[in-house]
This record gives sequence, structure tokens and C-alpha cells, in this order.
Amino acid sequence: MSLRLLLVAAVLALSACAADYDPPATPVALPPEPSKPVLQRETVTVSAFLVGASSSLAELNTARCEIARGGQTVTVTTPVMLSIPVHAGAQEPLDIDCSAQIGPRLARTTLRHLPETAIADPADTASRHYPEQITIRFRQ
Amino acid sequence: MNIRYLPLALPLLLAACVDYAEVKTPPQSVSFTQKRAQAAVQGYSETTFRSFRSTAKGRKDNQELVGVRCTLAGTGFKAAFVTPAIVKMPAYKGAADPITVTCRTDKERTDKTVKPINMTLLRMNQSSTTSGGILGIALTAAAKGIAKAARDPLKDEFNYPANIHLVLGVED
Repeated sequence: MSLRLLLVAAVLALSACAADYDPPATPVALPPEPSKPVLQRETVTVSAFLVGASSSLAELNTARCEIARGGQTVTVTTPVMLSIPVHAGAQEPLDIDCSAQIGPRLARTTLRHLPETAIADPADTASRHYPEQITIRFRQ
Repeated sequence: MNIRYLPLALPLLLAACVDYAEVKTPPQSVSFTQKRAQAAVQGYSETTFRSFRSTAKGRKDNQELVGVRCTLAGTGFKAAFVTPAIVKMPAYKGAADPITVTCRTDKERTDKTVKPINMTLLRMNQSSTTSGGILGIALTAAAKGIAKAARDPLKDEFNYPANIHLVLGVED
């Protein structure tokens, strides 16, 4: 096998790392916590992947996820953009519970994502508290 | 014959000497216990189940047992059969779970967990290698590794082994 073929294979491998699906352009809004004013909203893209043997990856566009934070819940299908309301004070973690049909089973995976900045300061609306991208991984 | 083929030929010759009992029943189907498991089936592959008695400690002999009742349970399907038997096992894409096979006589019982085989990965591992010295081997290995990582695991095909042997008695 020539070096050229190896380079082509490497390029193909790298292209496989990219996301296969674009989320809908309109974010799904997570409801604010009752009686708490919203300082700002942050958009987080939630994607789901199947991780196979030898580190192979495939994006899932059928994973159903229940995303909960501070007693508020939305149900979405990945990939999705989620609009999260940020309230003053301590931020709640995001609890993500996803299931997807993989082979004969309904696979399930859960993830608790803690806020990157725990406290929201009303004077600082530029800082993010949640990441721009959250990836859910299913095992083969 | 080239002498280097001898180690390969010898086990084949010996395997040909093993005289297994004839499977007298037609291949049987599994029954599905979950609709999603049935809906996800991509095809079927035949698995021959045979039971054996292990009489010597630490050593399996070739005494095949005929007429042993067995059950198998997988994710969303099950089957019951009497050995030797051929069962049409479901094949899946993306993932498959191990099956548990239980065989019992009046006195003995054995449980065996059998993992499915990722046929896609197996085929990639078995594909021909190049001859081009150490560099060629290294490049081929690297390319294979890249190809394995680049493949879509949702398209991985999973089958169960073609032969499953259940050993009752002392097992090594």
C-alpha cells in the first residue's frame, strides 16, 4: 500500500470525526425556574454518538433525551440546540438522560453536567455557565 | 506441499476426525420477547449447538451428549432446543448483546455466556496483508487502524458464532 493511500485513509478518518447531522436552527427552550428572573440565555448543542470498537464513532440522530435542570424538563431528539435560562446565583447542573435504539436494545445513557461557572453574577452577562457543546456517548 | 502450511493443515485434518452427532431436527427459529428486538433484525445466521461431557478433570473429551435440553436467552429473544440443534440466530447492526445458554440433565447443569461477533471488524482484521517489508507491514497496519476508526459503528454487523459447545461436568 502506498503512502498516498495511507494519507487518503487518514483524511477520511479525520472527516469521520466531524458531526454528521446539523441540529434544527431553532433552539429548544428549557423553561425558566418559577419566580426567578432570567439574566441571560445560553445555547448548548447536545449531540449523541455511538462509540464502537477501535474508537469508531457514529452520530445518532434518533437519540431521545430528557434534559432536566432545576425541576424543569424538556424532551428532545439529538442533535439539538438547547436554550438554557441563566438565573442569578447558583446554577443547577444539567441532567441528561438519553435512550436510543442500537441493535436489538434500547440503549440508555445518563450524564450530569455541572455548570462551568457555578455562580451567575447579574453584572456579568458575558460569561458562559454551560458549555457550547455537550456530547452524549453510547457504547456499542 | 510447502512445509509452512503444515501447522495449518494438521488441525484441519484432526478436526475432520471428530465425528459429531447428526443434527436430525430442522433449523429452528428463536421466539421474540420484545418487538424492538424483532424489528431490528437484519438477517439470520445458523448456529449449531452441541453438548459434551467432560469426564477428566481439566480436560474435555470428545464424548458428545445427545438429547440434552437447553434454553437460550438474548436481548429480546429466546429459544429452547435439544442438542444437537441448529438455531437460526438473529443478526443485528450497530450492536448485539451476549446470549446466555443453559443446558441441563437430571444431574448436571451448565451455563454459558456467548458474545456476538463483530463480523465487520473480523473481516477487516482478516483482510489480506501486503508484502513490502517492514515498512509495508507498518503502513498496512496503520491503514487498517485508520479504516477501523473511520468506519461507521452503526453499520457493524453482529452475528453469533456458527458453533457453540456446551460442556457438562468438570470444565477446565
